[in-house]
Amino acid sequence: MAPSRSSRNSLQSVDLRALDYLASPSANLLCPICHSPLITPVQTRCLHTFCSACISLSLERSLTCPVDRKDLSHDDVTPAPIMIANLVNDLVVLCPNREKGCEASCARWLVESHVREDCGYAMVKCAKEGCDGMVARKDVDEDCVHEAVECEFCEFAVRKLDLESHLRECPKLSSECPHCAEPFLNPELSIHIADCPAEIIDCPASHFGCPYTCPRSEVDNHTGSCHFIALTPILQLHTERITTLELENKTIRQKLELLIPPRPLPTPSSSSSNPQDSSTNTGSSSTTRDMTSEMQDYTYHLYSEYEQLRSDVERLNAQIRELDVKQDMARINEGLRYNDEMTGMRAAINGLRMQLHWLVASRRDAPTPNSGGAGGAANRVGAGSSTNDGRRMSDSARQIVKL
Amino acid sequence: MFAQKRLQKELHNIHNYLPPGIGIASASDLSIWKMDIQVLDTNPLYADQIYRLQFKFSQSYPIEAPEVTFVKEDGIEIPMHPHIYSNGVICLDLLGKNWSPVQNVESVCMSIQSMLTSNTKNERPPGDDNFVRSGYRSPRNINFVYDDDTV
Repeated sequence: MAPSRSSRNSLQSVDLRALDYLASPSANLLCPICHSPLITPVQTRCLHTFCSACISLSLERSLTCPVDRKDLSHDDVTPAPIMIANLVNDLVVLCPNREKGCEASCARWLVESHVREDCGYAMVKCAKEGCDGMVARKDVDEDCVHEAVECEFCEFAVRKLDLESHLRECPKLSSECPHCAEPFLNPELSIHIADCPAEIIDCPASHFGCPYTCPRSEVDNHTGSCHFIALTPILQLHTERITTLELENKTIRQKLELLIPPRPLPTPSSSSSNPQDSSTNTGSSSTTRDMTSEMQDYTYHLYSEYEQLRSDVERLNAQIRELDVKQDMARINEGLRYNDEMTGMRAAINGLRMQLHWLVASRRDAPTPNSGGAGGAANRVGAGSSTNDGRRMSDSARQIVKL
Repeated sequence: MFAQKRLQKELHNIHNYLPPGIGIASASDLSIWKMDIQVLDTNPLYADQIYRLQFKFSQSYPIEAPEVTFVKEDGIEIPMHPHIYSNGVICLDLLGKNWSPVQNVESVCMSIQSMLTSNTKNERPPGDDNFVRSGYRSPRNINFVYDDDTV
């Protein structure tokens, strides 16, 4: 028996991290990342121990040790001492097929071979020639459950494996209605349940607050006297009005939020929507939403235009101010230049007046030969002026000034 | 699978023991947990208040950090702290670039508990209004600048 079993290996793989341990393992053997007992333990340069898979994942996100945040690279991770690996591999685990009924437990390093070769609840290939189905190892010597058998009630071909679930919904079998306990054929049951007279239902006006419940067959008696049902048309109207008002309130709030806080300007192209489109109001909420979004666009557009104009005005103001300053400077400069020129002219005029004065004085004194060099020079000038033209006279006059 | 197995183990440990001031509010599935934390000393900002943290785990947990935010529920507010936005988003390097897979739900709760304990400023982070209005709910999309090491 044993050899025939081990020849059929289970393909089921074992997730070591999902295993349950017989005794809760020491906290020292847990990986700080996955909080499970270490699987393929590795050690970092800073001497912390992790599962090999966990630290690789962590290093992909951040190149630091998760425990002490020291810099760490993939090369700084080496296998942990064999002793640690042995300690975690020797921990006793429960078989992963425990929920199916296997009560085996073994050391963790043996669990894979247990599932592969021994566990009666691991799924293996069906023993029947040509059958591709899977079956629990303990049932492998039984008849193949993948063969089709005929349902004894509806004469339908069903796999043996599915027979149990088929019997629950076989169309020729009947089940009890959960409300009235009457038996019904399976296909008709769901139709019956939808309007079973014995089902306890809420008053039709329960959403307006009527707490009354009764079997469906008696609900007509209640509706005649129920105050809530009498008020239903009014309540309905109010509900509709509240919905409309809420929607309107929302729209207004959105508009208000758009107007009050300063918001970044949208690009002008995004505001090309036409507000007139929104006037085709069909009353449905989707149209209202369209309208608000178009309203938003339109407001954005106005807002951006306003901002543009404001910045234009500011720019122009600045330009005008600049020009003013320039003109002032030019005027002041010009004034200074004129002042300088004027001073120069005044000096020149003064000089000329002095010369004239002197000339007049010297001519008046010319007939009386008076004293020294100055008198001699004056004589010469006097002679020149009498004999030569005006130009020569002015030349000699300049000479005298130089003297 | 990896994430679920590890979370099952953490849940088992949490049910056995939790440090004082930390409690489990709900952990019905293995993708969203809610934890209650309380500041134990007499810090007037947080005295007698219980705050609720929400942990959102991805399939890559614990390699990837969980998304941890404070949540507002009936009678439970978002604590005042210069690193906690009023929509509950927490600016904490441990939950971002400095996450390490060695951390777990318990250690994150304790970090946040001590972050509250040592705080004395009754204020929100700068730019809270804009941040909340911008509507970021998922801390993963935010590049926080961890500029303040004092808290």
